[in-house]
Amino acid sequence: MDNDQKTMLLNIMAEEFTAVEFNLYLDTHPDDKKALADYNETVKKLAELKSQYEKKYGPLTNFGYVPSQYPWQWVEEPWPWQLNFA
Amino acid sequence: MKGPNEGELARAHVVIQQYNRRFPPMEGLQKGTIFPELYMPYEKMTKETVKRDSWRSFGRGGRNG
Repeated sequence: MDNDQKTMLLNIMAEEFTAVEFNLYLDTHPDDKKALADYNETVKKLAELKSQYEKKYGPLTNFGYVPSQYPWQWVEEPWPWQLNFA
Repeated sequence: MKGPNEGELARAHVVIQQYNRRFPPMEGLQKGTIFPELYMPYEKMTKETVKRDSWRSFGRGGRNG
């Protein structure tokens, strides 16, 4: 796994964490318009990052976010224990 | 007059959070929260902080003593 792939994965993790944080905040503050707008922006960014990643490296989840390329790429993705962000 | 075991139970009170600022995604991931008002890291233990925070000092000339 090259550095670019690692960086993209890290950025997805960071954006996803931000989305979850807004998710939890909005559960208790459903009328907060600024938080909702920032949540929507984060989710949009997250979807973009996932699409970019998948187009380049293959699906992140078994049903992915973009159509699978040929040949089938799912089994080529690194296993969780093969990732090393240290 | 209430006896020693008849007082009220403790009541939790938490101020409602108000969102206005946040950390950028990567900083939030590293800090464990995107909300600056919730970022409360533990200080690294030093002789000074141990001395300051020690239970032994409670009630002996401290803020409440």
